[in-house]
Amino acid sequence: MNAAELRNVSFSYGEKKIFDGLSFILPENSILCVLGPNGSGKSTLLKIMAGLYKPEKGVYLFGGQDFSIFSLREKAEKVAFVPGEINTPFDFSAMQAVIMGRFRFKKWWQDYDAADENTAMEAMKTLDVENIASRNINRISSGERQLVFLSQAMAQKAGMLIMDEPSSHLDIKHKVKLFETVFQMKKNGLSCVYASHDIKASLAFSDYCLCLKYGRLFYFGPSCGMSNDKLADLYDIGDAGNLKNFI
Amino acid sequence: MNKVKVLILVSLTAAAAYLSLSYPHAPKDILLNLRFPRVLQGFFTGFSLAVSGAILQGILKNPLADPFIMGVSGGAMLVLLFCKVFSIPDAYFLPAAGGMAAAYFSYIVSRKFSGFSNAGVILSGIAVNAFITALITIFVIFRKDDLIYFFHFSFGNISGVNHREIIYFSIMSCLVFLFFFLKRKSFLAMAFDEVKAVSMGLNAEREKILFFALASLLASFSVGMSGLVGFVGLVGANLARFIFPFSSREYILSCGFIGALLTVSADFAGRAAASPIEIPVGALTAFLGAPFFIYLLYREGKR
Repeated sequence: MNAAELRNVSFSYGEKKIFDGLSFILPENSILCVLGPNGSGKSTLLKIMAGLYKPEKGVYLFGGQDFSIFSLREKAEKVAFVPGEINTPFDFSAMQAVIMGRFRFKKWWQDYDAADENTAMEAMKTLDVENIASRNINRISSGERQLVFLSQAMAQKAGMLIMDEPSSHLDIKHKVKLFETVFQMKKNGLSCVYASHDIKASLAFSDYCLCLKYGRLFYFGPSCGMSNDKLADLYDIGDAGNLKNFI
Repeated sequence: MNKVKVLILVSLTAAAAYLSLSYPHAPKDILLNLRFPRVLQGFFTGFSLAVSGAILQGILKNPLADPFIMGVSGGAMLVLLFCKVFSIPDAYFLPAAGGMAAAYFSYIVSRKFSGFSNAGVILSGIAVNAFITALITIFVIFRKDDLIYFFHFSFGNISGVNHREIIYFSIMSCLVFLFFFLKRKSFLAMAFDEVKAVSMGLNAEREKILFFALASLLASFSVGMSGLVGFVGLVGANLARFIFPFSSREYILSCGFIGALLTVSADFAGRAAASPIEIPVGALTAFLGAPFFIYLLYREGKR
């Protein structure tokens, strides 16, 4: 049973084609990092895998089934998505944000209860942010915010976590916490897909790597198979030797 | 702590209502047949407008949204225009229906041209309001006798005469509020982040339509009953957020009570200040609301 599979998937935004005939298979209980230059379709791919977009052509299979046939609640049970940016002008405390991850468990008229609060708190403890539970999310540091949003996704208790650039605003302390948690998720039987520009950490903490270069599948295989030369080619860096300073 | 604040708020509103009922002193049957319905109408007009404003501000993620933003006021005025032209009596539900129709029109237009984006809804509402206001202006140039009529409508008209309609309006406002309160979780998820909301299992598009419909219903019936009472929706919801956190259970209820307090007080002041001349509610809410709103913006800037 594979965690996820794309078969010949094509997708466009209106006139603009993002990718054409993309295929790969992600085995169960693995971590996938998605790399590539900006504008290559990484975010689009993640959104398709999270069920937010439907492939134009081809099919996206989740656990062997066509993902588009699932209801929204079923999708929420299978995948939790963390977008690159979340902006709201209103004040939510960290606890109030994290507890929203429990939405799929409630009936429409039910409010969140003490059990939900406990689950939310546990998720925050895993990420070491339980001490800011009552703080306003618009007033904490961007690193703490990102970890709060990750806690929210974890409280959702989905089988797969998909994250778009989760480490981009993080300092080293929070980056370490993030990737360690992702690695721990695998041990707990979950899978994870993320796009990131933190190349070294991404490759170190993932099983598989998918590289997109302007909509084309550049590489898909074990992360250990990505060499500096391939990276230089992917990102159009002339001198692969310089890369040693960055990764 | 929040519960204490709500209690204080409710007491203040009750005090304002009591004051409005008892001054100037009048015989019992006037109080019962004229003043009480009037205070009740004022209460629920303010309540509905502030709750409507709160819903729209949350969904559009814009603290400056007001209840008439979807063209509700324009739609109501257009219906009244027709009533004048074709000499139909303007029962209160006709302008309300006009308001709902205009909101629906804004939805359709924004959906067609901008995929139902927040900006699209606001822009089509502005367009609808602007167009119809222009139409009304041209109309009253040719029919100057109707100018006073539209003037009174534009500044709110809480007369308290339609007893039955006031009862219906009150009940409807309470029911809509209760339903919305039950849907709190969805509302908060939408006000947080629409993309995340979908990923958490919410049908964002359907919920958005639902919340727009609820807000339009409250605003339309308010306008149909009492004309345009400006600023209550805007100031009420913003003021509530200074006292109660947005995601607290007490927030929406407090919006309603603050709106009610503002409207009942303004109506009372309008009656008492220049007695026997009555200053319309809308004039007072604008008069008090505008400087207060600037103060809120100043506080916001300091944060």
